[in-house]
Amino acid sequence: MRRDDFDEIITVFAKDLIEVLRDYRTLIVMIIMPAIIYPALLVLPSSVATHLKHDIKKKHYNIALIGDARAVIPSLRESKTLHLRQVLETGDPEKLLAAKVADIVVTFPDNFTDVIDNIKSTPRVQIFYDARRDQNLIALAEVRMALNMFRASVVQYRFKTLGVQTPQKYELNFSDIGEAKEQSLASEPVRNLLPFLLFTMLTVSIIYPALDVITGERERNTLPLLLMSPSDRHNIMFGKCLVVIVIGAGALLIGLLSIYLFIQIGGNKADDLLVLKFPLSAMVMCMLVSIPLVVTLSSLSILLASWCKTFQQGQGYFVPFLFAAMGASSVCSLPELKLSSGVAFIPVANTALSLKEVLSGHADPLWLCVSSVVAIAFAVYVTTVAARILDSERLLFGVADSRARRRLSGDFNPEIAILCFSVFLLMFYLGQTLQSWDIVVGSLITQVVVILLPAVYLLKHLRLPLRETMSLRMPHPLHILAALLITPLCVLTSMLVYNIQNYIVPAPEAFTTMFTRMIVESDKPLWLSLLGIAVAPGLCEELLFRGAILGLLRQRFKPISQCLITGALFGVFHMSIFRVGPTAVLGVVLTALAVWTESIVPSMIVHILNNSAAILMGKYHLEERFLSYWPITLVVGALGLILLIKVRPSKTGQ
Amino acid sequence: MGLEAINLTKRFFDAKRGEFNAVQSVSFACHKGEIFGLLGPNGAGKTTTLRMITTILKPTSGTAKINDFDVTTNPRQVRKQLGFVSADTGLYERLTPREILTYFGKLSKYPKEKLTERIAEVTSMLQMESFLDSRCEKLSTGMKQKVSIARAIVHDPPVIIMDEPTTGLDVLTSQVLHRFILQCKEMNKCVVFSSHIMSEAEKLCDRMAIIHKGQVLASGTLEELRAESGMHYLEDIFLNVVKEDDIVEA
Amino acid sequence: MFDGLIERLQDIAVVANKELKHCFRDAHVLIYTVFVPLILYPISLVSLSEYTLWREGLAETRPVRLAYVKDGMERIPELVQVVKETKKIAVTESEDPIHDLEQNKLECVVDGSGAPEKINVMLNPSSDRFLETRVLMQSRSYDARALAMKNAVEKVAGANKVSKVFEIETHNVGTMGGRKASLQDMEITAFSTTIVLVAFYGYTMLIITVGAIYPALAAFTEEAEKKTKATTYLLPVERSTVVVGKFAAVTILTILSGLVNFLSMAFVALYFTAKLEWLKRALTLAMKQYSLENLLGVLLLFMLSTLLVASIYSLIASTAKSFKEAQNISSLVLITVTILPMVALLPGWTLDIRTAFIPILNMVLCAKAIVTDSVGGLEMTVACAESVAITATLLYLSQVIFWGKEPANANQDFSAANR
Repeated sequence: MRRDDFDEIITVFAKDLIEVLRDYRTLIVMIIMPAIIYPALLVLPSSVATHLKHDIKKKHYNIALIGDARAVIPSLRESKTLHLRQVLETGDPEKLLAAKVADIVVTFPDNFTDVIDNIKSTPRVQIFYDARRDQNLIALAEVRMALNMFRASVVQYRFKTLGVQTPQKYELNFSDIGEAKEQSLASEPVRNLLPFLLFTMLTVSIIYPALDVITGERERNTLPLLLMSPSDRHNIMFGKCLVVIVIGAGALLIGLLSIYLFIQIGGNKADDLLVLKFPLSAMVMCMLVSIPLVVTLSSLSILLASWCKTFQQGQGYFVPFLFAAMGASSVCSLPELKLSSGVAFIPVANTALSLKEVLSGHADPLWLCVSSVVAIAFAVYVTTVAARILDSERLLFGVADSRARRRLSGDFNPEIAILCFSVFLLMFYLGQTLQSWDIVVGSLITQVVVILLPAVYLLKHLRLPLRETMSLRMPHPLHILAALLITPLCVLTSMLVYNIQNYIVPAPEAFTTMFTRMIVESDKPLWLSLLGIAVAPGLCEELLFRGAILGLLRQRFKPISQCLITGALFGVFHMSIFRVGPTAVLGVVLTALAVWTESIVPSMIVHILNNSAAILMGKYHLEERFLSYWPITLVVGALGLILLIKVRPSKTGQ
Repeated sequence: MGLEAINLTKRFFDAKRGEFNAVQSVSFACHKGEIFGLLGPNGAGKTTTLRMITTILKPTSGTAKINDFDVTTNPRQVRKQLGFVSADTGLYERLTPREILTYFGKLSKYPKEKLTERIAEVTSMLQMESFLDSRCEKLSTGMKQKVSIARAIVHDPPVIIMDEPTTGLDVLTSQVLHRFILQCKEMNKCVVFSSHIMSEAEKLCDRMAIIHKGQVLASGTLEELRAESGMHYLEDIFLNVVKEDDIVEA
Repeated sequence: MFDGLIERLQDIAVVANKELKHCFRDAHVLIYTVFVPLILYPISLVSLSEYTLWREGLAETRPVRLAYVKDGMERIPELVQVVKETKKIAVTESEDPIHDLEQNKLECVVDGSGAPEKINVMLNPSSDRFLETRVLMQSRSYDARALAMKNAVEKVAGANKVSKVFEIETHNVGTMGGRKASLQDMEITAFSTTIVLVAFYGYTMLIITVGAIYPALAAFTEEAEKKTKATTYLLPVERSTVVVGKFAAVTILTILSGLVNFLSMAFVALYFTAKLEWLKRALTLAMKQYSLENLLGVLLLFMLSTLLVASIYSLIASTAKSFKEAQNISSLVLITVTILPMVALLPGWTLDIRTAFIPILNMVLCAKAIVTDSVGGLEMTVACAESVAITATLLYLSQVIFWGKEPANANQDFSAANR
């Protein structure tokens, strides 16, 4: 049996490899693009920058001086780019510029030298230029620099004559610890750019083969034949995945080799700060570390191709796929992020980070192994999933599942996805505009129009009873009391989660100040802020998440999944990575409350109070004091929880 | 032994029609050394039936058995027994016929050492030696159809299923195909083919079933059908059966 | 004579109408003209801004670790003070700073024992933050210099005058959008000009091209692919009428796509201005650079480049025999078409009588000239006239090519294979 599996994989692999290699497009993406375009992308910017710098230095600018400029002339002459065209006693600077005699005209007062020598007063030097020509800005900077040099020399001289010690110039002399002692394999620009480049390179080179071996079979109608052959679907998929891996690895090798050669030939001439160092050892290491990456990305592209009915559709998905891959590679430019912080367990991102760590020379072999194992395990899993999709009847013959049947069975997943997407778009296009017009009133309108209306409209459209789906019923009175009691605990929990999350995803000052500025320093009366930012979201967001979405999830999922899904959506809905954690946890708690009490009212109460607490604490700086009351919060919260558990909702008893 | 369809049913959803039975309780049997025809107009459910038998669609209810292997419970064994030809199956355009035959032969677990021999046998039978090593994208329609047939029988399956194999072929190529079907019968294989061309069925089939709107309306040998309806030409019999059904429905 | 013209226009309208309907029912056209701009920009830009904030946060909470070499602090008091006040730097005690630097426990070691002649700053190139630290230390040294100067001046009686020496005042004689800008505005002005240019560049080259490809494919290539060309061939109208009608439809859709793109870009900008103060200022300034005439001029340029790009893709689409082929050619063209105008964004490239002759590039340069208020009449005319001429030529070519292969010949490959 084992031997059979192996034979099947090899048969599929050999056939698909021959077929893919006979396609000229594969050759283009596999050889020409990596060999020419990518290295050029890496080397070109730096050489263009050097060239431009060189160009700017070589250029001469004509300047004209009017007035008593004797003292300054030596300083101006020192500048290599400024060319002293004319020195006049009097004249009209604008006319000189208009006549194109000079690019820049500087005027000095008539008694300039005298005033400077005797420290009588502060004379005024005027510079005239024409901003419409952008090179003039460079000339302007040069002139200003020359004048500043002159000023510095005057100051030095004056201090000396006054007998005071001249202030230090603080010119730093940078040095590094020497090549022998540092462990890096490649210089920083290469380290930061290379993962990004490799990801792009790989994605571009594997997507065509992947589409060809899978979507191509579907489009040419050969897939049914393959599925009728008595071989295992997984083996077919593994064989095909292997083809993509080989193509990807080939492209990677060619790409890395040519990057290496390009850098050897053209890279070292670059600016000393942006020096491109990429020795042979780094290239070999790169290739080795990238193998898991090739495997993961290949399996993902196979999965993508399995979803596509046609080539065109596949090409349409390609751009988002590329963006996602490039996004994953951006973890490399986050400073101080290490594999050991848990990233090793996140597929795709972990290989990017491994690349960077290996290149900078302080990789931990253990974590490298972990990330490779995770990457390959993930790839195997993805390929199995893809194998399952392969013989989906819907994709094979366009057989659609009945929408009515799906809805009857309580599966509303597509509707929920559409709802979330429309809320996102409305939020971005409408909500944002309204809120930038007026934060309080705008958010009030946003809550009703952007959040409540779509939810209600969807339920109406599905002809579901509003009241029941949204759990709009009075809860047990004791449950209201319990909700009030656990509110402080909720506030405390989300503050705690925020602080824990802050360790991995620290919020910058700009974010925290923006938040307080928006809410606290608003000139609106307090009641209006509370209405717009606490009460309205408490009602409308609850009706959307704990009402509509939870209602649509209820039939298909277990309570725990309901809580997690709704909570996660609630977290993402806030559109900020710094708030995802706390809001998601709050979302889970609110959903649990709604599920347990079978009513939306308690979660509304907690939500309103939670938001109000945030506003009030921000406004009156009560956070410290609130935190110091933590034992009371715990006790009261425990009481609330006990109350919740003891009292079952009345409806269940019936 | 051979092929047996037992109450095959498939429900589909369609934006226009809503839920409907594309195939409803279709039963028939085809034995070794027999040619069975599935006749019906476009959209009658012929293709869906054959797809269920070839294991690439799952029946909503009912099943089919090929050499006593059940398509729902033992699809892999079923696939080993099958060869499938249709007018719209594609070929790998960048591969040569020889490569395609080797590929499918290997995947269908035909003994490796005999595969070369078998390919030579099949190619001489279908007279395709001349283009065995040129890429499929350069072949004409008739040549491609020959490759399709060769691909279906390269692993020497006991059951051959053909879905409207002659659609779009000219008279000469159709002739080759008809000869091939009769050859299969001689080799004691079980052949099921669907068609909407009555003359073809009249000429080839031992037994046939007329299928319309997913249901089998009549089945039997040509003589039995003639006796039942009192008409001579199959086309008339077919129209009669189908029309009756339409009237009943109206 | 007019009757003929009117009839012709009616025919064109009929063809354009059919193509528009056709395009609007094509999923790809809808996705690329409406869906992508509406979704892709917000999602990618929101995630970009979140990513930037995250990075910022990481840098703030994980400061660059710096240690002084023993006896290295006394002679550089101002630098020590400035570094102490910098949030992004944490001063760390270290027994053996050089060793710690090698072990990546430090990012930076400062040795001030040789000051003032030589202040040594040692860095580790294998650190993640090598460049960042270097730039940071450089700017700190400037601050320290300023502080040293301030301290020295305070020691001298009435010394403000001593250090000031003279004042510098800058005058810009050229008007920017009808007003004279001061130097303080200068950087922002340069920046806002770039924003306007980048927006223009983005519009003309990326957006129009992406928006134009699929309508062009749907209008021209599909006739070949779906074999409806023969029917169209038999229509009792002028051949050119059909092509012009299709071209009109492609242009309309392209403009539409551009508008949707602009709309969502505007919202994205709004999203960012709410977060970034300087961007708000820059955009306000950028807007001020437009008078009514300028705005009309830029709009005219938009129109011309839309027509040009639409004609390029119409030609590609009518040349290609299948979708796949057309997509392959257009991605190559896309690269060339996008690289060319990027040059126009570099400083130093202005519209003169030579650059006015380079197609596509000249359109962006014209926009640059309008924004910076340095319009030369001759060059503008040349550039515009050339664009129109190229558009017309390409349109004519696409007509010739579209009808060139007679329907009977379409099967030539097939019959060759039969032989």
